[in-house]
Amino acid sequence: MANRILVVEDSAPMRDFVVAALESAGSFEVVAVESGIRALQEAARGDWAAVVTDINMPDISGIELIRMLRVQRALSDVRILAISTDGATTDIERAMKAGADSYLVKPFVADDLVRSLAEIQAGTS
Amino acid sequence: MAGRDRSIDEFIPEAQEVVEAFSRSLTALEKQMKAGEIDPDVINAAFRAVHSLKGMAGIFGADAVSQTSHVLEAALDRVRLGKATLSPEVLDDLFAAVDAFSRQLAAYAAGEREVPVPANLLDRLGKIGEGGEKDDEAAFLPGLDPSVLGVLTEYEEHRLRENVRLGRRILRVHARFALADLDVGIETLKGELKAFGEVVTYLPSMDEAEPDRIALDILLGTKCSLSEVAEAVANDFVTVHAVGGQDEGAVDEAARGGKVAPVPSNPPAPAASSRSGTPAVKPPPTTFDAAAEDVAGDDVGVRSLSQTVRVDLRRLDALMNLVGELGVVQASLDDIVAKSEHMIAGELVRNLRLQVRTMERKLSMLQQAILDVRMVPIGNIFDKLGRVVRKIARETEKDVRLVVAGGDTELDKLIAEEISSPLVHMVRNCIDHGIEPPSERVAAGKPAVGRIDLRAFPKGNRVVIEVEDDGRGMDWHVLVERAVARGLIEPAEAMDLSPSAALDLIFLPGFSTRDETTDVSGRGVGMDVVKTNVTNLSGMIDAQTEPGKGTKFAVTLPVSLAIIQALVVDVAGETFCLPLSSVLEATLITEEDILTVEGQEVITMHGRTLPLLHLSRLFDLPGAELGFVDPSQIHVVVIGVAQHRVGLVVDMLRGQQDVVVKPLGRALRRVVGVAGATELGANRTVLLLDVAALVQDALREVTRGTRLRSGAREEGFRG
Repeated sequence: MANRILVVEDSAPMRDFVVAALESAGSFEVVAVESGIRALQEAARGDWAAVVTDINMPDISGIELIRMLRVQRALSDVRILAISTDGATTDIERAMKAGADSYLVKPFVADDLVRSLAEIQAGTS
Repeated sequence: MAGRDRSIDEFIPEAQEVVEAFSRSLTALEKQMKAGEIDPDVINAAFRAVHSLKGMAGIFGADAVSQTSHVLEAALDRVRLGKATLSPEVLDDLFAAVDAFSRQLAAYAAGEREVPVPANLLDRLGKIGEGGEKDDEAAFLPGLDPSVLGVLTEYEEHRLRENVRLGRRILRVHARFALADLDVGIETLKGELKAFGEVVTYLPSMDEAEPDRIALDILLGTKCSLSEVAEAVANDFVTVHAVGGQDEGAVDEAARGGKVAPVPSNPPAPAASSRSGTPAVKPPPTTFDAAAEDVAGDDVGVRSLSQTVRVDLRRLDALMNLVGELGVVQASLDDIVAKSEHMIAGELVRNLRLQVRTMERKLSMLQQAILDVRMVPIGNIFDKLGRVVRKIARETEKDVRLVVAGGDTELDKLIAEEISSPLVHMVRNCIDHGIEPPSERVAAGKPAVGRIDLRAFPKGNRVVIEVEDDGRGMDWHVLVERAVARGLIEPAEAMDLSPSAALDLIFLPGFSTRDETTDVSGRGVGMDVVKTNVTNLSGMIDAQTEPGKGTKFAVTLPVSLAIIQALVVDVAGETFCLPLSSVLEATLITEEDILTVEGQEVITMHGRTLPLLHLSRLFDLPGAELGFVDPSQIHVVVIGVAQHRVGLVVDMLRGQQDVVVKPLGRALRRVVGVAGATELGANRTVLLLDVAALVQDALREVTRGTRLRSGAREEGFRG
């Protein structure tokens, strides 16, 4: 399963949007979860090409999630795309420092998301 | 932008929900402000609601909502970062934003294109906390690794500083969880910790995690001492540490000597636990009194005044079946969308997918709504037990006080009814065998009045009911002697039994410690019947006893039966579902981890030996004799039924899923190990495994000749 993407987003409509955008791009197999905790469980269960995570979530935030994924050997080089809103520049910086490969600022359109993913997968970002 | 064309209809109900959540947070804040104790978590919840709204509005092209929430989000960010203080005036503006959102959403719903933005309000919101000061970066943060600060969000960093400023101690709570238990584990621990202060953040733990376990650190800001917190939460997997050079005295010193006078913080009152969470630490128990309500008495009282309808459970079952069938339709739709990908234009497919997703989510909400209708508070049964206690206490001339807690814990009506008589039996046992006569109690230095505790609390998707007495407890030597006397085990086996394995003897048919002269509990039912009943409900039962101190039984039950969360696994090319409530953990082992003891394969986990069961062999699946796919990576799912634990060997874990259980047709009904069928979409019917039967089968296999010794307890496997 070459192109499995784990989507982590607590807001249901945003999650639907991200999943629909990725699935309609055709080449991804998408699994979506609603919290950082569920993401940790799911991440350990399979091979992932990339993780797309919102930053602002209750309990385990996207930044904490990224940190926790990076300390696990099996996941230390999975591609990670962080999603945030404009204005939260401090949080974006910290997400990148924690180990995100790139970030995307809300609002974005489906093509932006697919392009960003392609970029981090190709390692050009 | 693409979002503008997307159906605004879908956005509106979602947005309304978020605005309502925001409004509820504001109402809570107003109350807290009056009481002078503001919970930062509520401010943060308000912030996150607006943050979600902004994200949604952007995607769906609702520009007015987007602009309003943008300004509001920034204002709330300043409030939560302590740059602005909440005042009645600020709250007025925040409430005004709720009204503005409602008007905007109504306008969008009515199809208006140009929805106005409330300029005056935005102006006022923009001024909230304007020019507020940033945290003093140099402020004293004792002993925290700078790399830790680097991963906190700005908000978490602020909360950390704020806790220090208030003279609270920062403690590091280190916890290790099995992956499968992570969600329940964190939820439970967080509930416990909230009673002591503020959970500031979760950090990855620096020590190397074991496979299939996750270690993390929680930073807690608290007024309490390390030992107080440790006493409440520490166990084999949770430890509490001081952060850096901070010691007991240093914090008070820092608070006193620092620039800021210590502000009295909230006393560690038990936090209101969420419905799904575990009650914080120990909920204040209430002494049972026929007239007295349970802890949440007020709440229940109000609810019973509301309008209610009595509904036949069968009607709800019919509804549930319909929902299940809709789910299958939905999955087929999903499939069709995937297949027609190349035939339809991109934007159209995208919209179609989005709609299918939304439908899927609404379906599961519908399912949940039906399940909620079936829920009843366990308090109804606790009431009944109160009467039983009084009656039996009179019969046996013992003084007993029943203390109940958690009566508002809800579970499925059917399960509640089925568990009722086992509970009655357990309570009878407590009084008959556990609680001593008053004279004997006084002689033993105990209060003359015996005490029975009945507790219920949610634990993830399960409910735990505990029955505990402070009576004489059970002496395992006596249990073993009795089992030998009744011919249940051989004297030679008895030698090998550990105390915990001996305690399991009480669950054997034919074992009863009943004194022949009384017949209070001895009415033909023993603990074996209790166990059978619990097992039939896919539950588990555990016993603990201490001679002279008392006995505790813990019954763990699924919250609901009709829909269950299932773990989907593959074995020899076939797919099966396991009820998640019976799954304790999933792990990877290698062939070397498997030992053979008396012809039975076993593995050791957490110091406990479990028999291994091969599903492929059990069901005679093709390829069963071929051995492992990859001997270095063998998936084992540990399942538990009653007091037993068994490891199931599977080829692959597919993940978790909610499934609607359907009864089997006549042909399959007698197949051992299959509980029902379920549909996983794409018209695929999958068998749901009967964990209880599987475990029993495994144990029968093991116990041939060596009966109890090979129960699920580790100590039995020495031979």
